[in-house]
Amino acid sequence: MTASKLDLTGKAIDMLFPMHVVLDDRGRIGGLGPTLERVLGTGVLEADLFDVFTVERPRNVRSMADIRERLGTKLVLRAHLQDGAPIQFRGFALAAADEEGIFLDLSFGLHLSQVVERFGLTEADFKPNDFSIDLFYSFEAQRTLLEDSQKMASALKAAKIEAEKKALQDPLTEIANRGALHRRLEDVLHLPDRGQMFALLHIDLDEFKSINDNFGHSAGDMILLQTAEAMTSFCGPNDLPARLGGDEFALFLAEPPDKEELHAMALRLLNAIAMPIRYNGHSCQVTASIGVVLFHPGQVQNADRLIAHSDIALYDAKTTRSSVKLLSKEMIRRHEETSRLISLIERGLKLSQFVPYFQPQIDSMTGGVCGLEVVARWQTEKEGVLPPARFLETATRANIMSEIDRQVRCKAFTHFAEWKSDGKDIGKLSLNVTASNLRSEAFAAILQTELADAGLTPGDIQLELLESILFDQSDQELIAQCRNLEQAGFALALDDFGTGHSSIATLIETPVATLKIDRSFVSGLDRNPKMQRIAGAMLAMAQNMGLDVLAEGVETREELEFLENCGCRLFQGFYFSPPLSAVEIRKWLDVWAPDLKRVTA
Amino acid sequence: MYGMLNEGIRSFITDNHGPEAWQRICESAGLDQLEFERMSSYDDAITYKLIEAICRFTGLPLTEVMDIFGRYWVEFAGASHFGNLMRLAGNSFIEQLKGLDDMHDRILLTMPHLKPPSFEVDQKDDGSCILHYYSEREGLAPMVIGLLHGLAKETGERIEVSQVAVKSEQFDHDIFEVRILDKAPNPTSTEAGI
Ligand code: HEM
Repeated sequence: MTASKLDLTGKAIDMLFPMHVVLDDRGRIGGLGPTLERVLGTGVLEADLFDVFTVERPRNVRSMADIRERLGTKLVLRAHLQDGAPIQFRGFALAAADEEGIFLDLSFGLHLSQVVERFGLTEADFKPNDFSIDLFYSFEAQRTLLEDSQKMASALKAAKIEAEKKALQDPLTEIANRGALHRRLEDVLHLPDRGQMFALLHIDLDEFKSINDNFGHSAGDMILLQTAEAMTSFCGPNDLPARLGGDEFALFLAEPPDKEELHAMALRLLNAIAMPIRYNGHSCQVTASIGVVLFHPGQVQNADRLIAHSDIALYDAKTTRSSVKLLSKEMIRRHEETSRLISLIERGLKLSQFVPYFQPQIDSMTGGVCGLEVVARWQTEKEGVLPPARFLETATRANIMSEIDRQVRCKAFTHFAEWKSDGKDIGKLSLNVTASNLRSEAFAAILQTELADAGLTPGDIQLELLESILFDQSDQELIAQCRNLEQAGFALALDDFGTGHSSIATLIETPVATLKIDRSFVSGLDRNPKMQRIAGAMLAMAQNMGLDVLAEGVETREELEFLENCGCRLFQGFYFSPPLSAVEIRKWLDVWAPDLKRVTA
Repeated sequence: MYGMLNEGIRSFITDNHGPEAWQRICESAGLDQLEFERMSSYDDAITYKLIEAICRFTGLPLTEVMDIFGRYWVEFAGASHFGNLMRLAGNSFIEQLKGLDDMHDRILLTMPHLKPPSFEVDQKDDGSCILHYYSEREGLAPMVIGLLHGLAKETGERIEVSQVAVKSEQFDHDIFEVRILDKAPNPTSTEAGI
């Protein structure tokens, strides 16, 4: 049997074509498949096809005749339901067996998903070999995946924006960080209009560390926040406040006022920063300094240079204690000079140009040399031998003073060991010690190693502490370090006694064996009764405490004799000898002996 | 328009002029973004602004830019996963042309906000055809010319296109006349009889 002989029952037709439409010769809807009936309702029966559907494609199909012309080709139809969105169908038309009517077989088009949901269709509503319902599920899955990936994409995007923001923001104060300021300054420096002026204020909190030390880090953080807030309150829409790190801030001003007003504004900013805050019932407060640079695009090559310039002005403000300083050519010149000096010092270190000079210390009772104080000298190629005044401050600021000290010390140790083994009776080698030496835990160990390398022991050494180091008697750490050194066998002396402010209590706590009376109490002493009384009192006190006293800066015989009469027996000064190089002092030691006769005579 | 189209424009520019050019074009178009989600729908205005900015950037007239982009698009979209949809319609230019509506309809299933074009093909006996282009949008006819050339290139054919009617207030669509100059070698005819 061939298909043409097949005569299908109505039930079979409904099953095979659940979405068919039967049209009579005038185009009226005579019958609907069961699924289509559910969707369109029985109300459309007997209605004209074109009242229920429009044919979207091909275009211009508006009559039964148009449809008859396109039998067997693809049609796209749209049904307009009274209640709700239109539904698209795809299908094709066939001539019915009677040749009069038309049989339309449809399936859902575009709106498959919506229709399935809207009418609660299930697999049973589709013909068994129709794939549509599977499509529905795969669309659902696809939609979920798409939504997920869109959510993910926007989450990623938000995260990226957030990360970019963070990268340019200081996490604590939430103002810009150094990177963001840098970017802004680069932009401004590259603007074409060189006539425009901008300002950069470089702000540094004074002694911020002591807030952290005394009140804890959260108090410190509050101060930093307050500073950021104060800066922000001075900002216009195009200005940028930034934290450069630690207690260092900067404020970029896009439209700065004239110099005077700018200065006044900086002072107002300082006042705002210095407002005291309450923390745990305490009031804490910091002052600050500001370095200001006024600049125009192209003035310096890059942002780093500009920030370095504002830093120079800031440094000047700090060192002159003048709170606000506008950068001047003179400051830049000084800065460049300092940089040059630093590189010369560094070169000097490499070439081992730092050497010890020795000044003898004399015991007038025995006439012998009781010690040699080491002082540093810089043997330059062009300017000859330079005293510490020419390099100390710069080297300290550049953090290279300890290297210089070490170079000088090691050479001094070698000479001293040599003279001792030559049989010279020269007492102790006296070294100056700084506060940072004392604070460094490694210092004692380094010293011991250097001594051992030279064949010396701590017993050969006297360490001279500046009186100002011990000013703060509450600095138990320093005092403990002094005790350690004494235990290790070093003798301790207090340098420049009388100029600092050590209390008697400090003297009791610190294991000092010798006091060195500062030269200011010695020069001219023989002619000044008031000084004589002070010197006398100091000596009496030292004697009572069982301390040795050494008078520095003795230049005349009268001074020497006066002090001897007051009971002083240790001396140092030009009267005996200025500081001398190793070669010179070696000679001096050889000729010194005769003079001893003077003292004992 | 879907982001995919704007991404096509981006790829067109970065391929030919580099990423800095793209950045400048986006700036000149007043956009604050440099990339688009392929599967998200954007305001048509963005696409138009981009095309105008490209004209300013290249100094070429609008029609030419759209023509060139149309040619590029077929290559770009054809290389995407949707490319298969286009090839499913058939091997020849004419077959694919007839399949364009179905293809955009199928894309519509995954891009529900798509406002696809619609094409109708009247084949004439002399081998040429009249192509009706319907769109909800304005001004894209020059791009269609490029698209048609691009499509022909995909099937290895060469065509000549001229616009014979222009969409206006009185007339609801554009019409083109397409002449096929070189037909693609048809693989089935060489194997006839087997
Ligand atoms: C794989 C190939 C193709 C893909 C994936 C594709 C996809 C798209 C997409 C996503 C749009 C944006 C519509 C919107 O967002 O509303 C579009 C628009 C358009 N497509 Fe295609 N397309 C392809 C090939 C073609 C070809 C070969 C032609 C013509 C010859 C064509 C003609 C158009 C036109 C004219 C528009 C503009 C819409 C309008 O006129 O309103 N496309 N297409």
